[in-house]
Amino acid sequence: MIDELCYLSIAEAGPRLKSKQLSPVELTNAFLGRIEEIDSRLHSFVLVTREEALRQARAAEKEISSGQYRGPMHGIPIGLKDLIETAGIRTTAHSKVLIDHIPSEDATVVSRLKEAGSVVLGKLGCLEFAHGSPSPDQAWPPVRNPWNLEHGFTGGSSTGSASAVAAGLVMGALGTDTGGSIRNPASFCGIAGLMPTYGRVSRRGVIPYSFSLDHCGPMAWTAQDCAIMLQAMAGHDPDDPSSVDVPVPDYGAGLDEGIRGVRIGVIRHFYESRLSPEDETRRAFEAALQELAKLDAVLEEVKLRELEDYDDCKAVIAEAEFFAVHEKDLIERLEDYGANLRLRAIPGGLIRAVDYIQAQRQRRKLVAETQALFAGYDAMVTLCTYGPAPNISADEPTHFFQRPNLTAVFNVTGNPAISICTGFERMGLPLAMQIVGKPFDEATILRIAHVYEQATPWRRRRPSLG
Amino acid sequence: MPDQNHQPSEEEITLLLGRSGLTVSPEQLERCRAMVARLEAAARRLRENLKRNDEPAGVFLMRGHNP
Repeated sequence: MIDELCYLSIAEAGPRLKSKQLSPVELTNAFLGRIEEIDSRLHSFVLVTREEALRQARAAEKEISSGQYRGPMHGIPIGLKDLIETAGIRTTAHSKVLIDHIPSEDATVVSRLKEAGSVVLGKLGCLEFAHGSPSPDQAWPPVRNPWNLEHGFTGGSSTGSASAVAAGLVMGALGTDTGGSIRNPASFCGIAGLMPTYGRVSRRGVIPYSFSLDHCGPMAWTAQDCAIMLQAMAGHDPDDPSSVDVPVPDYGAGLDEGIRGVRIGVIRHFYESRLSPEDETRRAFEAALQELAKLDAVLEEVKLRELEDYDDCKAVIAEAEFFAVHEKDLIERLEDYGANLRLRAIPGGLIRAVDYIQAQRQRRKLVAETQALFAGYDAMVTLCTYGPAPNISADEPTHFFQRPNLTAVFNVTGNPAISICTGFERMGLPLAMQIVGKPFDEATILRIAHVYEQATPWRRRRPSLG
Repeated sequence: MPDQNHQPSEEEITLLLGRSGLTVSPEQLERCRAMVARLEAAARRLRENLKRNDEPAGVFLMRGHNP
């Protein structure tokens, strides 16, 4: 019974909660029980806020019972990446540097999800400051991938968010994405992860990695659930200088309209020279394209600039901004950072001002060229990662620098992008693609993702955790 | 002429990090060198094909974007 409740999607649980067939307290207890039973093997939570979650669940139950239903997030148990500040609740960024950090206010996204009636189960592990990689000197063990606990790497940096969603420990989670930190772990853990348009979702109260590349977004089992979460999170925030004051559409309204005639640009040149024709990830992507064509989308090959152009731009901007954020602590308490993050962060101090400016000048050109190409399409699709989850022990501190990143392209340009599952490789690890939209058109990519998920069997398989 | 392909030596990196206020062990320094080389290479490529009037992107990218 517990498993049955914990494997409901948000879209399935909402109507049951609204009609009082399901109680928020019963649902919250089911998740708390499952966390207690399973999470000692996954380490997805760094803090379970049991009492506060039950208090929120009781409040939701009282409101729903008295006819004050707030909407599809009311009574839904979620988790928050521990990079996102929570009033009175420790927020560490998975680092010893912030081990005693208790914020006085909730991040705007947290306030909005609470206003929508969500029940917060706790804080989820991540890579240190969203930029490190697992190292044995950290305060918590690395999060494990529920599809293979031994093999184990979740990708990053929203490690706990992806793992907890896939394992049925939360119905949805918040992640952040500076170069792929929502989409990469979503891909490796077989869930849906949406990076909204830069400026769509407030980052006030989200501990920064790189001001001009950071995004905050939803992670859930399905694209439809991401749409429901985004509805509660999106909208202008005058307290976030990057926030844009544009209308928020009804993300659920068009999900079932199909994709007949939707023009989709297919980007193959990013990965073609790096993967063999027989590669499983590549073949799964081709099969997904065939599925989209069967659903009457119009597919056409499209070429953007070389992947390295975006990757260079992202690397220089992100490392310089990360160093700027952390300069004081890096100088005064370098040893409190994990060994792997130290190696990644230190070179940022060597980037010259002029190099940073040249990167931003190139970025403007990349954005203009990419948005001009988008004029001919409703969306674009490409791979999300070069393959399934690697072994956790293979994640060297500088590993991520050795091959240009497939996801960072859209952090550079600011376009929204969602990662969804396209099947499983021979060891049972998930594979994925990303669907990319025009700025502020999350609705179209959510629709494509939803229609694809409905047409394929991948959402019916869950990790086996005993 | 400045050397556009210059790769900083360990001594130079130590000096530059010192200017940033950072002191690192020889072992840390050695392990940082791959990252430093990667960033140097990126910075070199980013200098190319820029015209005098090319403006930088705004830090807050989508401000002013009209969807």
